[in-house]
Amino acid sequence: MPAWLDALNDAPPADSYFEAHAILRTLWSRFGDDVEFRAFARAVLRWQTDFAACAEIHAGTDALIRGEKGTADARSLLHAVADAGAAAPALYRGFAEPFHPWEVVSKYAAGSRVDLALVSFTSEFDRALEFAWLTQENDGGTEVVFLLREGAHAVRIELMAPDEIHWREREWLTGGRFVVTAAAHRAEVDRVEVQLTQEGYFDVR
Amino acid sequence: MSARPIRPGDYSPPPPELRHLFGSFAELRARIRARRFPGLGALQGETASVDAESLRRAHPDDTSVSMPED
Repeated sequence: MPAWLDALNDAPPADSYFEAHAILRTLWSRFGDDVEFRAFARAVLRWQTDFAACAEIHAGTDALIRGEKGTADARSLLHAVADAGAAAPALYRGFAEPFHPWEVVSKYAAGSRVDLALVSFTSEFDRALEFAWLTQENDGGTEVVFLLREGAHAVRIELMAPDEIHWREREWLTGGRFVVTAAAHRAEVDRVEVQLTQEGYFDVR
Repeated sequence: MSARPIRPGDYSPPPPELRHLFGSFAELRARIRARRFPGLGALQGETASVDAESLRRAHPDDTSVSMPED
């Protein structure tokens, strides 16, 4: 694992954006001359702040995973996830699906798999709930929260957030093949919770 | 269970109509903002949330990061 990736994932918890920014500055002072680190930082910046660039990154990852050329940003992010090691804490992702709860539960039956080349998760459950609620309020359907078991290959990119709003999302970047280990509709809070384990990550070297 | 490497060619992405649910937080934010404030527009709303000074703070030594116009 590259030293900068190890330092990013193993950095101490930050209780404020000020602390996070101080940690990030030390990372830049240590690794600012590393070409891979700079490429990763550029790709993360686009991933965190530019949804149009995200579409380009998705196209790039899809191409790489098909065995085609892809893009530099896509390659950098996929390599980082692959190199990260299986050390992530439990992670969460909230959204809403345009179906009834029973349809969502049947869609994510235990043992089913979902391939996500690159995807954002958060280490804070409340942030996932917020995304689920906002998405459901906009689009209707059912609130869904993915609960990814600890030990996934993932990169902690919260420290690279450009401002406090983004930092509060406590974003981690991961990707690969995820296996559903359980899915249930929690009637008391009217949402579906889907427990996942990462079965594989994409190795495009 | 430890994750294993998956080689190129073995990939079944979600259907296109649901892919916006499974990408970056930036995409989720943009979609939420566009739905709640249709007059504002997703692109304007997203770029307005990250100003040039914020980007400089996050990337203090990286002169290759191109900043938006102030």
